[in-house]
Amino acid sequence: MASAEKQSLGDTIRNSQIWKSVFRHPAPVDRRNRIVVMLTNFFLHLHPVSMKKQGIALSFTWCMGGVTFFLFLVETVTGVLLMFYYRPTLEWAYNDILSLRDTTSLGILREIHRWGAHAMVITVWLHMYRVFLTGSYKPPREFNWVIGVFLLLFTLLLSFTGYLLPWDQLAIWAITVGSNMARATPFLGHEGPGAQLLTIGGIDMITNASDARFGLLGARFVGEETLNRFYVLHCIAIPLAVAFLLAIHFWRVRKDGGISGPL
Amino acid sequence: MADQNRPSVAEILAKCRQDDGGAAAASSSPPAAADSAPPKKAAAGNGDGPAKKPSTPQVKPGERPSIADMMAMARGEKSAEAETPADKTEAAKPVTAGKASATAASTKKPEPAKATTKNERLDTASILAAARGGAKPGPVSKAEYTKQTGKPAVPEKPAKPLPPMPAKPAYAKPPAPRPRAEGESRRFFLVSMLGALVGSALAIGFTSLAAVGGLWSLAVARFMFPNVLTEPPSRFKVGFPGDFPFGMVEEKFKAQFGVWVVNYEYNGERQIFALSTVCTHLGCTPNWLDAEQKYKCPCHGSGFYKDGINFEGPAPRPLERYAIRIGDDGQLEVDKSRKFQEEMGQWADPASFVTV
Repeated sequence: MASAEKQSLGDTIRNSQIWKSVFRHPAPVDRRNRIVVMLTNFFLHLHPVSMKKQGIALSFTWCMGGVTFFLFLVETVTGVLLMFYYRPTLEWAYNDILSLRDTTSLGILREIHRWGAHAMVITVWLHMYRVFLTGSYKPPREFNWVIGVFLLLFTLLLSFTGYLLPWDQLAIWAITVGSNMARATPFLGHEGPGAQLLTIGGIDMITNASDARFGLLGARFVGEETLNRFYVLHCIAIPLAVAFLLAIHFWRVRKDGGISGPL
Repeated sequence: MADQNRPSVAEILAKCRQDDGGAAAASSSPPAAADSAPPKKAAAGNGDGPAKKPSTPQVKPGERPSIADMMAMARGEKSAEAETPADKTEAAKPVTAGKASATAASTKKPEPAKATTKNERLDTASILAAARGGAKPGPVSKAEYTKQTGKPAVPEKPAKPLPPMPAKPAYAKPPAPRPRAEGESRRFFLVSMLGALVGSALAIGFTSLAAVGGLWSLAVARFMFPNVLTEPPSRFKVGFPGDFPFGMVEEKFKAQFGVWVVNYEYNGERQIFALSTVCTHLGCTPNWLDAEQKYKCPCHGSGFYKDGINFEGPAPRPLERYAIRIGDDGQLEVDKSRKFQEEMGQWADPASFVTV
């Protein structure tokens, strides 16, 4: 009796206007509807309707691209949650990090965020390594490799900018050392080769208050300006760029002959 | 037809060379067979080119003939063939000499019976009349054509067979009402629900996903409620009752806690109470004007007496009190988590004041 009630309830739901307005097509139980669902679903339409069995073999793809994207989602979700508590100021940054660990419920969120960041760098490299080994960078996929290189760059920049946010001694001096490399940028770093050539009327245009490092830190030395700047880069600017490139990356996987494998 | 049979320049040259050299040596080859004609043709075709014909015999056996000679020889052959159509080694060519025969052929084609005009020149009208064979000249309408011939002018199109409508697929059919099985019971329902949750690997996977997702949602919801606050506490001590002489409005707690501690009288009773510094009009913070002995809101001009009763401006009701009591150590303790409103008679609550 109860089962019959449940069955009819399911049919009532599936035949309702609400359900049909959300799910335009029947369940993917036959070949036609499997194709239709893939084509009309927002989340699935990036994927090919069908693919070679070998293309999804774990031994072939390692699923490293998928794992990387999963980690990106983990970083996004945990990062947004951490933003509810973290204040990028000299007064509060370090205290909020300690508070997230010590007093906040679900304090493991920050650890997940940090572990996920480390894992994401590793999986990006493994993904790149797999693509290289399987020759999946060759035409017509060569431009997707270029996009992937930019995604790798942005992943590393996300790690770099996020490293400063705890605002402990490790963070401050790591960013100090890391940004010191920008001093030696050719022409754009005040200690770099060619910087002395950029003078107007005997006045140096590239100084420690106008070079690439200054633009990166927003100051001569790592301070609250740098903290705020890296916070915005870490939470807004770079994730937006990564999301944009990810969409193109996935879309081109489909357009350039499907997921890996010989064409 | 004529183009195919017209000899190419190479063939003409080869023919001429064989005429010069040993005609006897190449008697068996096809060109040689054709070569047997020229002497005869040359003799027969005198009337066509009397000036050029004599040039052919002038070519000496050891010399190569000039181009002009070759052309003359070729023309001589053609004219000879035109006069002897029976000779089928080469078909008739559309040259000037064969014009009459060509006209005859064209006349012959539509009306073979009228062969009488073989050598006459025919005008276009007579040719067309002969071609129509007595039928009505000029265009014929479809109705006339049908009347004359009994056949429709436009052939009827054969009926195109339409493919049958495809059978309705199973998913498009309305679900048939399921007959209620005998075994359906509460136990059956529980077992089937259990099977739906953990009956297969897929079910276990989705069940686990839902469970983990639900737990994470709960944990994240808990995460949003901080355990440590950096804001001022809602319960705080303000000092001993003796620190507040009668008529005093203590302002030093206003900035941090939003409270005036007042020793004044209410309903003829001397009390120490804690007034909220939030205007009851729109929530601004009034100021205590000691010279005028009133609280005055800078936003819209609401005014309150020292005991908190409103008397001017738009404020609709008195300021609110917070709970106050004497703590264990004898100090006054304000609790901002409880509010008392005069217009609701709550100021009579002993928790809202301390009697002095």
